[in-house]
Amino acid sequence: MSETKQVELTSKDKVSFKVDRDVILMSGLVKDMLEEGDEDETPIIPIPNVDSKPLQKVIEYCQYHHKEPAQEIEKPLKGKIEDVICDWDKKFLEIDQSLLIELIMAANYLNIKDLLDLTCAKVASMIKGKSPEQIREMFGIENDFTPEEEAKIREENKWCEEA
Amino acid sequence: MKKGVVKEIHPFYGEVSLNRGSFEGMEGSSGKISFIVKKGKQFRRICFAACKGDVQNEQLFKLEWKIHQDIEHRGWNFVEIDGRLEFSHLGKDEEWMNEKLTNEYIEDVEPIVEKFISSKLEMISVLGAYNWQNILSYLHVKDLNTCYQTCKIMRELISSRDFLIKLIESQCITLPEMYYQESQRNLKHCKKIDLLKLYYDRRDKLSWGRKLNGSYIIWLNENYWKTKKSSSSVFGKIIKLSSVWWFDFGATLTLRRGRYKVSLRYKTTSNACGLAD
Repeated sequence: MSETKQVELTSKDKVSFKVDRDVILMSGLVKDMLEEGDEDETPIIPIPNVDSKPLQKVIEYCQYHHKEPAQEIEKPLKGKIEDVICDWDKKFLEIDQSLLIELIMAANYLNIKDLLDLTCAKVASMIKGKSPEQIREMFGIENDFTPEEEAKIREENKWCEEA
Repeated sequence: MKKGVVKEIHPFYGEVSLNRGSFEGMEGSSGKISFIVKKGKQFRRICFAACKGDVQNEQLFKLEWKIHQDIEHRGWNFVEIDGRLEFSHLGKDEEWMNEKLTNEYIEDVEPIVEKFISSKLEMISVLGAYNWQNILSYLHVKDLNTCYQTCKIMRELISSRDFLIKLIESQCITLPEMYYQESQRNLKHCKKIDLLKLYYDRRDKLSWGRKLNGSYIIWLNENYWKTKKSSSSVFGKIIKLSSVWWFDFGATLTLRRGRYKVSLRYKTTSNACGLAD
């Protein structure tokens, strides 16, 4: 029986991860790189923008979802994200906000659409039902409206009227 | 080595050179760079890096493909020195993230992308306009209105043409593939006010049949009715009736208050009887 081909990924903080080639092909970026590489070797691929912690989570995601394709998350979100994703994804998303943001950036960089959608939808779910003040606090956003501008927006200048 | 040129031997792609001079304008602010090459009709993003003040060497790759002249006008700078290409591209990575984007399409969003990258707010600059658009596209209009009130940059993004088109494409009635390209072309030429109206009027309605709460077709067992993939249907599939004595089918939907037309599309074959009469 032939051995499973592997790829070695090196994170920004120089931690190496050996991962099955089939698994990491979920990444569009890695796939593109491997297309040009030598088939017989275990290619070493630096992932210079991603630290080991999020990279490990990315690999974990790919290991599960390369065999169990993720269900598309419908837009707009109905209810909380936990209502529309599988149990495995729910557990996967039990992480703090800073790691979640790092995962979005990693998924974006590595071009893993399903993971990017999942993590973005999670952030959207955190935003749902919050007030502008709560959203600002959550993401460290400074309120740069003058009190007059703010009052104007609230009263008559909504982006789109509600149904 | 020539001054101002970064050289690196990459373990996978070999040697590449990058003109550091092009980055001097980025001092003190965070920026991003993509290496995009064109191969045939396809653009490929083989590297993407964030740099702050200086270029990180390890992100450099050798490009083995011929770089076509027509990418020069898209912000690329490249010169040939000693048979080696040196090239650079400043920021604006997000126009490359979506290969379908054209210059015309990004006209509205490009300044916002720049503003996001250079924002002092960490969560805004780190995620960038592209990821924020993706996050916001999961929100209902009520929550979008709330985000619209958080800060000026968010407000600008939500009201941009680019974001409106993304919302319409993801939340409004989805057309079959054959009509999609045409509608996409039409969207590009819509005025912002019309895009907003389109989104408001058509958001959150039936699309792709995914919002069917329950549907049933009696005898759908691949003997009497057969399911076939078809791009001519908004549901991506059609049901072919082979033979049956009687049949019954139905579905329930949850819809927003409004006026809808219900239609049943069918096509008879030359040997069909009953329905054809």
